[in-house]
Amino acid sequence: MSHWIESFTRQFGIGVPLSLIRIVVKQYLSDLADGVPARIKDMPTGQPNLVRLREMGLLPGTRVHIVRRNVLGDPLEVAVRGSFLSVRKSDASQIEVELT
Amino acid sequence: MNSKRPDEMSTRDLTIALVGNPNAGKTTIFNALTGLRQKVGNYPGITVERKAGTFFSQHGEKLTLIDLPGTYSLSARSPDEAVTRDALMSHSAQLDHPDLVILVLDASNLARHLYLATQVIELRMPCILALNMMDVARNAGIVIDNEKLESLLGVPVVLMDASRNQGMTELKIGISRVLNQGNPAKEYESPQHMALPSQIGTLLDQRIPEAEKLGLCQSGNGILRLLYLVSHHDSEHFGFNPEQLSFVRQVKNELTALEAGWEDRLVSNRYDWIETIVEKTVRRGEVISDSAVTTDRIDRWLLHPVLGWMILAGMLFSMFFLIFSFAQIPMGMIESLMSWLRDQVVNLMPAGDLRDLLTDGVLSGMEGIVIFLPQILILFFFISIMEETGYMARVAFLMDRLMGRVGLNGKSFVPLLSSYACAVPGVMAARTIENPKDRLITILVAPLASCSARLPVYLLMIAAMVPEEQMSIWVKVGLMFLMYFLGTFGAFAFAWIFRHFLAKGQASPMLLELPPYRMPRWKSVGLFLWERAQIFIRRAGTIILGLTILMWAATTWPKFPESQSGNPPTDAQKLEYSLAGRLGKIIEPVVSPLGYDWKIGIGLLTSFAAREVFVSTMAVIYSVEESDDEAITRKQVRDKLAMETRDGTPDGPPLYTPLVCLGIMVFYVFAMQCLSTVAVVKRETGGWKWPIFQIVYMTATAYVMALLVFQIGRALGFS
Repeated sequence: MSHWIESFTRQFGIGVPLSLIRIVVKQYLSDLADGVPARIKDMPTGQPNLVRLREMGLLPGTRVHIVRRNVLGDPLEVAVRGSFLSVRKSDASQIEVELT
Repeated sequence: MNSKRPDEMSTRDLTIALVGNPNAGKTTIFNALTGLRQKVGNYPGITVERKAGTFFSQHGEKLTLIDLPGTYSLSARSPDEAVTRDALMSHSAQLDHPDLVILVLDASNLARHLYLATQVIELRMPCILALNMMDVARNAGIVIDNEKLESLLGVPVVLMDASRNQGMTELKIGISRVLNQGNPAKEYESPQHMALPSQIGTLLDQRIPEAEKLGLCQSGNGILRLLYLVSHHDSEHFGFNPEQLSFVRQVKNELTALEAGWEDRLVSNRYDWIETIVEKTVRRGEVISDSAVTTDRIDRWLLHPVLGWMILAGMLFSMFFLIFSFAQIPMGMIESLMSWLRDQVVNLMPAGDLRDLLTDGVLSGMEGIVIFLPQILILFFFISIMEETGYMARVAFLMDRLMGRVGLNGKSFVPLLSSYACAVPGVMAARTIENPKDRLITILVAPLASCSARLPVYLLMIAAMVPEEQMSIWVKVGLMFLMYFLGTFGAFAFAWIFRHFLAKGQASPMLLELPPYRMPRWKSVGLFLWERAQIFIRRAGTIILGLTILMWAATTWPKFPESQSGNPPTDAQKLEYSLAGRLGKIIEPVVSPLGYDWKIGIGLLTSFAAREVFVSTMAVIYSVEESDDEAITRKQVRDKLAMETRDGTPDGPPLYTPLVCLGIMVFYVFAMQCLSTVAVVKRETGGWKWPIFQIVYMTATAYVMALLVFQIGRALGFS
């Protein structure tokens, strides 16, 4: 999302820096480029799928990165607490992250 | 009650349960302790059946050990996870109630594994913490203060490396210590339990009397049991009666009304508490372990966007190639062994009904089944290697998106792949799928995968189509491929239909752990194959053999009356006069639009018990016709089929034309003809509704497809 906005603004010669966009636009786990370390900022509550992800250690504050993704971008292989989980994009797109 | 001494126990042996996350090494410890070797899988949730064994403690007491299904949490998500939850919360008089729990944890990933461990410790059962995979942890520079951990959690901690047999003695000493000294976990009071938000605790407390009345919990750990029952996400809770189910739903709604994110809160609280423990006991090195590096290196190839798929396709191709080529060698050996046996019987016994029963009934029937044991074993060998190494989880990762398109998920791939060997283990493997709708759809379409029982039918029909010399191997392989494609396509098409009309909604997300790769343990692969072979032979020896004998009797009696004219009756007359002949005549109108005669009709009828019976039925029918002949081999059955004509005269039009053979094959692709599968589907879905639905939809499809093949083919001028 942020990258998209950055390139979009650059087309109009404005060139808003990426770091500035990131402050305004929320970043989600599914947006992360492979291998970029991040920290989970927030995730919605009351959703059964996400409860199991929490139980497996994906919680606000946890450090994560995406190892790789399947062709078509789904599912994602996520590294968390020393193990590797396959997470669907639809779940990952609800998990808000911040870069570390 | 918790500090039972062996001398107080007269009714049963003390029971010890292994509990832990998938891939924590439970099964390895189970094997090491009991010596009763069994499957060590790498795919999450491979331990879906109850596995028990016995071993002796340091003092020589006999103990029962149960390997409970792996789970990440007591809030169960699937039937196999519920098995673990229910065993742990069962009443102390019940069969599987453990007197001691061995919690198996992966030391290299302590925080996540402590999640389940602290849940179990809170149940106040006698526990031992087995920190497994210490070698991996050390390799990654992780140092664990086990004495501190012991004092913080109040349970004995044993350091282990089960795959190298290290720590077994310490574990046994720990077991004896806890069994004899009672339950140290009694003194443990977790802040987590106290931090159960007061409103939630109060509400659960209020509901306990009703829960007890409904038989959902017993006194003791009532509040926690109720909590875990309510947080079970399976909307069709297994084993609940309607009142219990509506009660559980009601409490869940009340909790959600109280606080929408109550479950998330509980998880966060628990992890907060675990992190304080980990901070005090674990020193993390920032080293990446060797196995993680190797795994990543392998995954770069196996999960590569392009190469990954090519490797998977290559694997499946070589698997089927081996099944159809290499298996011929042992199959030939079985064939000659059986015909040798038959010769022995013929030489030793006087001619008569008994000899005919042995040669034409028992031996012909057995051969038709045992002959494709090699093919089944090759298939199971591949599946077992994929599970052992951890590749199976990668296959699920690769397939997830594709399966999602038709309304399945990546975890459906394993049940479907297993179903190419046999639908029975395939249907059982569906237990690892969390979402009940996904599980149901997987079970419903699994028998459409062309299982190995269809192979002999395909092989016989392909052989009967045209004389062997006139068909190149590529046409045969192509036909075979077409049948497998049809079955696979049918499974996907019906999954899509069911997803849209029967179990509406999105396919559930797949949560899957990708475990580190490891070398397969050849011993457990071998034992797994041995187990499968036994199951298969037992099946051949019971159901199928029984049916074959029944078939033989039905084709022999009642005997054609001795004619007055003195001409001995022809074989065809004898068969027509027999019970089977009469039955076949009755159903002939139903099957004649498909181009079949009454003999094929009998074959179809008998193979509703098991598909492969078709071949042995044909063997029995045609060897009965020429009962003067001895030693009927498969080849001869094939030749007889080729000689068979539509009107029964030697010069009439052939009955087994390529079109009819193709029609029979297509029928077998879709038809539900397997008693064992029906039985297992009934067990797994909890009633007759779904197995009956399955029989109806599959057999109707089979009939329509075979009708289309024959009628369209004939209209186009094929014969």
